[in-house]
Amino acid sequence: MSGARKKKPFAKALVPPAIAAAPPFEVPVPEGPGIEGPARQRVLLVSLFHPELTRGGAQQICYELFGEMKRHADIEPILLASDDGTYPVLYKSGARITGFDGREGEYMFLSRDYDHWWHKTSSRLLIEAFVEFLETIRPDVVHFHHFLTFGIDLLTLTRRVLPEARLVFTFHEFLAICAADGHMVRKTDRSLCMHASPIRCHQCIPERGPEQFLMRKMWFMRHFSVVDAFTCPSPFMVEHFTRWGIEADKITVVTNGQKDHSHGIKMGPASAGHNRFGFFGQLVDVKGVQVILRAVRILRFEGFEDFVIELNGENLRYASAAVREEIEGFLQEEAARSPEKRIVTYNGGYHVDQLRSRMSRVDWCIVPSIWWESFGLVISEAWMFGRPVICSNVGGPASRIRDDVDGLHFEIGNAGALAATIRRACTEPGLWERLTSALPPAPSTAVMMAGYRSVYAREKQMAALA
Amino acid sequence: MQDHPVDEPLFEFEEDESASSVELSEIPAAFDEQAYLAAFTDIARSIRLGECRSAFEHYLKHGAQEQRLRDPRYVEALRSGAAEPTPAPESSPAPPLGLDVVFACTSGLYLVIGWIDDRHMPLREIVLLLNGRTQATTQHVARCRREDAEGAIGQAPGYLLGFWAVLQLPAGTSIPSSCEIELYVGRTSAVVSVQPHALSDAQLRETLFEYLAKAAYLGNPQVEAFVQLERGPGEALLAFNAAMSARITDSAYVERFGPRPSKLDGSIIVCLFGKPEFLFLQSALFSASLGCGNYEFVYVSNSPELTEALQREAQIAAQIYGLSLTLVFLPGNAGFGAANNVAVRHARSKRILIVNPDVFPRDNAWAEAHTRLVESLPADQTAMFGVPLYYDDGSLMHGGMYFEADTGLSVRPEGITPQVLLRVEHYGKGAPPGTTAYLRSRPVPAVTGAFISADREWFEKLGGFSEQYVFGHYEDADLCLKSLDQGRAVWMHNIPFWHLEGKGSERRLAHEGGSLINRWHFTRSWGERIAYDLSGREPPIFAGASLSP
Repeated sequence: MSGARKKKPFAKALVPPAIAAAPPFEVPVPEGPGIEGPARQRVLLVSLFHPELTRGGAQQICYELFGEMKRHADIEPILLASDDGTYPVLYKSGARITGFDGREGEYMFLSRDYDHWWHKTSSRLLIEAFVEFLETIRPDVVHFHHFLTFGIDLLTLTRRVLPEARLVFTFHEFLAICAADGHMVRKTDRSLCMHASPIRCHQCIPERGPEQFLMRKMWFMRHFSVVDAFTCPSPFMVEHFTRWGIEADKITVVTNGQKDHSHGIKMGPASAGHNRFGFFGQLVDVKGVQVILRAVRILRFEGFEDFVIELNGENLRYASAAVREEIEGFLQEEAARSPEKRIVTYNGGYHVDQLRSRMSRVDWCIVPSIWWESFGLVISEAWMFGRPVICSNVGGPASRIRDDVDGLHFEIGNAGALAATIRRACTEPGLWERLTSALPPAPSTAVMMAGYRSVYAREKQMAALA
Repeated sequence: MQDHPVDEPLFEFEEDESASSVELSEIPAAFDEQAYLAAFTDIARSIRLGECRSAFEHYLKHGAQEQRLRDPRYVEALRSGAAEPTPAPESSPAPPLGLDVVFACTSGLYLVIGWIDDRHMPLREIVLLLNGRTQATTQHVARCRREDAEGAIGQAPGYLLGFWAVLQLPAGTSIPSSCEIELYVGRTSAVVSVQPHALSDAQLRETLFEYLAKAAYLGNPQVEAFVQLERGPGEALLAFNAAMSARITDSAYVERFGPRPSKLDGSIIVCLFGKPEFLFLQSALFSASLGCGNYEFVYVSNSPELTEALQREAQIAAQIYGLSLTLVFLPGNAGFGAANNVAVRHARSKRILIVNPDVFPRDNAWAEAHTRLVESLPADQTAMFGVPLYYDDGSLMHGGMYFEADTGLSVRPEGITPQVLLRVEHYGKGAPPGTTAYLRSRPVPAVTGAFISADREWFEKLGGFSEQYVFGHYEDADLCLKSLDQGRAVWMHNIPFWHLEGKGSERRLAHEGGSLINRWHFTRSWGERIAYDLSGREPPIFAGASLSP
């Protein structure tokens, strides 16, 4: 706990006193919303990317948490978000950590020389800057929301620089376990992977020998060994990580929370027939949009065409060539049909501000992910707008959605099963109303904050005991 | 391939004024024209080409300065009665041959590669001439199979047509744009004018050992390679490599990082080659142990191209892990033995741990266990010891080493030659991890250089690793045998480590050639000693020690 520390501008602490005495401009002081007193807990949130620069679930949640923390008088949050060179203009000459757009408590970690196999930076100066940042900020809690772009070894460095700080790490997916994009989907047959091992991982990445995976795990475990507490957003993830080697008493579930983008305004169904479906997410392989398209082909072949599907999302360029070709080919065929024959419409990407209008056009959301899907933010977003979800029967979605209670499951990757579920959703009287009435509230940022408070506090108690 | 030019002189003879300074009174009475011609077969050709009128004139012009009457070949020719007069070269045409290439390096070593059908007139000597003057000769010619030559002359397999040899000129001799290679076959010779390919010492070494690795034979390749190295260029290759290693280690540059603890329990010496990542991996994994702060790392780099990366990673490792770390940079690959020796010289503790880059602690208590063990056991049991090493699959990789001697046969038309080949084997390789017989403390014939903990004074008294071995392999067994002969057997003690065998450095074709010559050198160095009482899993010298289950 910081106690009654003397508050000091970050910029002044980084330069010799003679220079700091007359700074050319004043950098915002990382002190929270004007709260004085000894009880404030300074929390450094280390975020993979800034969500306003690079979209993604992990950074969105971290930023939601940051925003929520700012509303609590006893917490002083500081955000350190990374950029991986996507915005070269941010890389000011000689700078390694900078502020962000004049915002209070928000800083950018300008990642460079990053080794994507070992997950470490080779930039000595960047590491020195991180040390100086930690020594200047001196947080009570350092909460990493990822290691990517920072380096897994910065955990050990943080422990060394701040031996008294509480070190918390949140797993947003499985990159620590799985070198194959962190999806735990076997590249050999696209089946879901239940556990990593040197031989199994070598089968997925043949250019790396089995011993490389042993070393990789030892390397990760060495750095995770300094973490006080781990969290993940879904119970099923706990099983994966404890099976992998994370101590069970160190890992807990803290749900991902979001602001309510519906602002509490309820929406009715989009259509009387409840036959409008939406996909929200990235158009990459593991999100499974291709499964939807195959299901449409099946239903069309069966003569069942009284439904529509709207695709919302982007990043098709990151899909594999085969999946990209399949999606593009389907959409071209669809566009060639006369309007009344079209079932699938592609709306392009969207911002959260557009969620209401996009959600208002569908009755159901489909989450057809063909990987474990650690949480499924889109599920929360669907619930905000009163849309039941049809999801793959594994991982985060299956653990959040109760089949035939507040949503529907179908067998992962099985287009026929999805086709049957779509047909049922369109034709079973009262189903939509029954499921919608049972929808749970989307987890709020306040709920998430409470979860992390517990983790931080428990660590404080344990530290006090120690 | 270059053909043998038989019709025209290869160079113009220039009068050497200094030759006139030789006084008749300085000519020994024992000068024998026939013995001179027999000893120096190139002179007959010079006479034939009109470069000199007689052997005597050659002696006046060149031989006196070159002290040829003291040359062992001349002495031998005198003793044997100077044989018969040398037949005229014209009467014995040179056999079909081809000179593929001549490589030369700045330290004066020339590598000559070619083929010759000398079934009826054996190739007995190769001479390197510059401007008609003999610069170097060798009778140590290695032979190998050349299927391409067999095809060219329509010869069925059964004869080693290929040859290669090295000739040593004084260091610093500039590499000429052309030179002559004279091949003495029976009583005749053939001269081929060639343009040597200039290489650095390192490039020539790489080329040499690649060629050794690739060479084909008839019969067991290891046995035949041993035979060829023995009667061919084996000694010269070792000498060339050792001289090169010495030059490299003489130029070592040392840089230190991190804290300098006042008390050190040990210095971890690691030789890096080709892969810099092991520095940060080992730093991370070794430093997880309590007590590691009393150990320092000394990394020695045999890869100049890694210098910048290693400097950077050492700085980072010192910052993240708080390690005391020393880098010893070498301007070339000095080999495992020489590099470790120079690193030991820069260690700051009395205990050295020779560790391969792909060795990692299997137990986080390794540092305390090692320190406790060294402090508590009798000095003879810790003067030098190894530890159990494990594969990445969890099975045992190393529980000590022992020696086996195989005897192969080289079967040639001229006779059958038995050849001993020593083999180094690991106790417990692939055994279940808990096989206690391999894990208990006990003396063993040898331990792997992947992990050797040694009392520094003892290590230095033994002269460290032999620097005669090329690149790496067998110097660990050599060191252990030296220790045994000096009265202290090496021991195994149970501190478990991972060893990702063979993954810690780059492995190139030349290294296979290095391993081959090392095995030959190890066999000839220790073959008799091992045969005496050190052969097998339970060697007689360790009678009753029960080294394995």
